[in-house]
Amino acid sequence: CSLMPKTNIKNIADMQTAAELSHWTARGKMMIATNNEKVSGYFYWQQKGDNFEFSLNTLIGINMFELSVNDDEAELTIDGKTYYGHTAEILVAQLTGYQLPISQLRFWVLGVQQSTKNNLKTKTKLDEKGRLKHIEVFHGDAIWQIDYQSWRSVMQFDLPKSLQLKSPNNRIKLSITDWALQG
Amino acid sequence: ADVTKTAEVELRTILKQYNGFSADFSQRVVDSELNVLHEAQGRLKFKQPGLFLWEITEPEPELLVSNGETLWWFNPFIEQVSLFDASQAVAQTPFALLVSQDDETWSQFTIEKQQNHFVVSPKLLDQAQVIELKVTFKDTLLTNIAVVGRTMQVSQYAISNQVFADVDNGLFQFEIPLGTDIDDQRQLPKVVDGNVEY
Repeated sequence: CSLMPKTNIKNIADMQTAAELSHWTARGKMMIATNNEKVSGYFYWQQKGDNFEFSLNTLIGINMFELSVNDDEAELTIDGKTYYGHTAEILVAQLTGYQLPISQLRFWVLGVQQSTKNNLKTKTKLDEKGRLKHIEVFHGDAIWQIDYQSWRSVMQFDLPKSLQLKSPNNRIKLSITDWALQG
Repeated sequence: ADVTKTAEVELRTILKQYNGFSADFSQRVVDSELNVLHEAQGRLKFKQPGLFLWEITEPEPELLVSNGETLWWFNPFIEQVSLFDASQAVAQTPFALLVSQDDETWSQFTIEKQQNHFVVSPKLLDQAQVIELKVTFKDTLLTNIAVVGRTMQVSQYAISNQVFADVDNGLFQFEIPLGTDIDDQRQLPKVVDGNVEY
């Protein structure tokens, strides 16, 4: 079930927690490492409810890939070719070999833990300010460990500045250098 | 073709003066829908032939430096440095062209002059990631560089604090920090003095 209604944008001022955010833009640097390869680039991530646009670019602004989801239709553009699928995670895995926890990443990147029924044995640790410090959760067919290194205050929220996500064969490092909250 | 020739000659004549040149840059990457995808700050240094330093300082450090023989691409975020032969430099980053005196390298591009900027495009367009490098001058002072990618994304570099002054060759070297992964993509790995070679 989706946490947010699809279209209407709540007024940020009325929001208590980042979990209520549904329309935001994040920019920064991302690394995806597998056992034998490290790829990194600058990302632009525009979330709109359950839909999003994500692009990863080189330091001189050349696009590496673009991923977007619009009403359950996933679209991935790489090397000038566009591929379609229903689930972004499967599409990315098929075309790049990367197992990325995309459906959960949108919450983890906000420093929010979405309580879903199937991962009851989730382990979470909070820091002294009650913010997420470590999550261990079963996602897809792997255990993901998420560690939050630093935070930044944006409006009334504390949002992650740097976090790392590890699964047995993938490591993702995110440094979020810019947040823009729309609603 | 002679139109390109005169434009190439004019551009390369201007660039010859960039033999000891330092400046700051402010970068903004915009997609075809004018979303701002990325912004960065940094500094650059050019010395002819083949020496350049392109250092991003904000928001995350990253460094490209070439001594005309080896290009180091150091990415501290992933604790890795990639090494390329200088001849591969232009393929890795179009900025290397601005310090290249190699006719063969230049012959892979068409150059067109439009008002005060030169548009450099690779002749082999279909494999090219960068389809246009636009270099803008005020008289002969470099003021802007734009890199246009195949997806029509444009990376604009506004150049400021331009200084023509000799730059010590030692600046165009890179000391690989301990613990950095080395991704050596050079054809014939050679001993590079000052750097540990395996």
